[in-house]
Amino acid sequence: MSRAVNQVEQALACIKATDGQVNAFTEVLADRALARAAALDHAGGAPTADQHLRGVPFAVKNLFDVAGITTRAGSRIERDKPPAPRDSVLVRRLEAAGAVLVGALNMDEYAYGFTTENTHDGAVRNPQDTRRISGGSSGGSAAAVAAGQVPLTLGSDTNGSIRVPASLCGVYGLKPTYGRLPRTGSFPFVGSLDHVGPLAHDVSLLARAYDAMQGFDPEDPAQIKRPIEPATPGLNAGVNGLRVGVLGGWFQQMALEPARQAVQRVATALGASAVVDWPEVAAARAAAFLITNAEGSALHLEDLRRRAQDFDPNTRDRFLAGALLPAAWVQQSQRVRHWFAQQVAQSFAHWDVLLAPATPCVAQPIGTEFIEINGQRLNARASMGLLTQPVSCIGLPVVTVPVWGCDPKAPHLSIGVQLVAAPWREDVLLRVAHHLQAQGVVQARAGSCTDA
Amino acid sequence: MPLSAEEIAAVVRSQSTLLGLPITDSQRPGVEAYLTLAAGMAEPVLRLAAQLGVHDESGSIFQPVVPREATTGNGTSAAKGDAGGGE
Repeated sequence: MSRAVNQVEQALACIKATDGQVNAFTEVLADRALARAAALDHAGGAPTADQHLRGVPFAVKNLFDVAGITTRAGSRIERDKPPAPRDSVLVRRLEAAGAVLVGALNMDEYAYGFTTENTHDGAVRNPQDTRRISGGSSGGSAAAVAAGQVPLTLGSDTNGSIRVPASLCGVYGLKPTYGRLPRTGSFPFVGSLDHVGPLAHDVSLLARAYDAMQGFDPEDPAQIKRPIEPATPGLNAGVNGLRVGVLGGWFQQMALEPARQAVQRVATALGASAVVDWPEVAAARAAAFLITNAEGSALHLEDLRRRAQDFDPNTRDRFLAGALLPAAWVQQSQRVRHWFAQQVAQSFAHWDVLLAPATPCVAQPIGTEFIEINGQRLNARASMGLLTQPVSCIGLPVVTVPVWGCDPKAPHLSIGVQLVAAPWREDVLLRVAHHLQAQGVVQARAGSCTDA
Repeated sequence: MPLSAEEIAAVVRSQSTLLGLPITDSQRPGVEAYLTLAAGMAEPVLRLAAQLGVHDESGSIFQPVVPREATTGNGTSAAKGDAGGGE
C-alpha cells in the first residue's frame, strides 16, 4: 500500500491539473490533507481492522460541514455565515477509518437541481465530455471521481442527486435506505426526503466507505436505530439465488432507448427477464415533487422574503412558487407517498432486486432547456430525476451502476442503472454491483491522472 | 382541469399577499411557470388521494423525542443512544 502522503499528493496534483476544466471543487484543503496524511504515515504499521480506508483521499459536497470553512450549500447567501465549528459526522467517520479529506465540491444551489449549472460557482462539466452537464445536485461529487481527482466522495440525494450525476458521469453511487446514515452536520434541503451517501470509482471502495459510515447518531431526527450491518464481508457472494426483475411501466415509458438498452444489458447479465409493475408511479413522482417544492421553500422562506435576489436564478423562482402551494396538496402528497410505499413493499416479497434506468438519457449539453420523452416536451433540468424520484420518495436503497456505449450518437457516455432493493438491503445491492463489475458488465471510467 | 394563465397569476398575487412574500415583476413569469408545473403535479396526487380511506396515514409521521439523559424510576440514568457504533 502506498503511503497516505503519496496518495494525497497525487490527488492534489490531479485536482490542480484538471479542475480548471471540470470545476468540481469549490475548496481544496491541501494543508489539512497533507498534515492528516503525514500523521497517518507517522503512526506507521499495517492498517488496523478499523482503518480500512487508510490514505484514501476523499471530498464532500459543499453542504457537509468541514471545520474552519463555511458550509455554502451551493449558495451565495450562506457564505455570509461563520465557518463550521467541526466536521460533519460522516467526515469524522471516514477519517476515523483512515480516509483523508482533501476538499469540498460544487453543487446545485441548496441541492435543488439535477444539472449543477450553478450560477455562483459555475457549471460542473462532465469529465467524459466537458461540453455536457455532470448531473446534479451532487455534480461535483460525481465529476471529481470521474475525473480521477479522488476515488471517493460524499453526496446527498433527495430526489436523485447521487444517482443522476453518478449515471451521467459514469461512476458508482449508493443512496442508502432513508434513515440509514446520519445527516448530522449537513445542510438540509427537504428533511423528509434527504439522504446522504457515497460515490466511488469501485464497488469495493463504495462498500467500505458505506460500512465505515454506519451507526446511530442521536442528532439526526430521521435516523433509525439499526445495528451496523456491514456489506463488505458478503461482497463476493455472487448472485446465485437472487430474484431479479425489471421495473416496467413508467420506468420504461419515461426512458429513451439508450436508457432501456442499459437496463437490458444488466438484466441479461443477471438472467432477469420478468417485468414488474408498480402502481401509480406517476402520482408518487408528483408527490415527491410537491413535497420537495413546499418543504424546501419553507426552509428558505425568510431569505426569500428579504433577499430573493441573492438566490441562483435557476432555483429562486422554483422556491418562490413552492412557498405558495396549498397545504392540502402537500399533505395529500404525504398520504400518497405512504400508500405507494405499502404497495411497493409487496413486490419485494417476490423480488430481491429490481432494475430501472437512473436517467432517461445520457448527459445533455450544458444549457439544454428541454428534452422530449414519450412524446412530451419536458423541462430538461427537472426531468433528469423522473426515474429516481419515485424510488427515493419511499426511501428504498439504490446502487447506481454505470453502463457504457448504449447511445450510438454518444458512445463515449454512460447511463446508470438503478439496482433497487427492500429497505435495509444495501448489502444485496452492493453484492450484485460487485458481481456486475467483476463480469465487466459495468465499470466506472476515471480520468487519466489516477492510477486506480 | 388545468388552471388558465389568468387563474395562475391570480393565485400568485393572492398567496404571496397572504404569505407576505414579495414577487417582483421580473420574478413573476418564472414563478407562474413553476406554479403551473406544480398544479399539473397536483392532479394525479389529488386523484389518488381521493381514493384513500380515513386511516391512510401520512408519510410524515411525528416521532416523540426522548430526553437524551432520561432518569429511570429508581433514580439511575438510562443509557444514551445505544444502537450501532455511533458517536
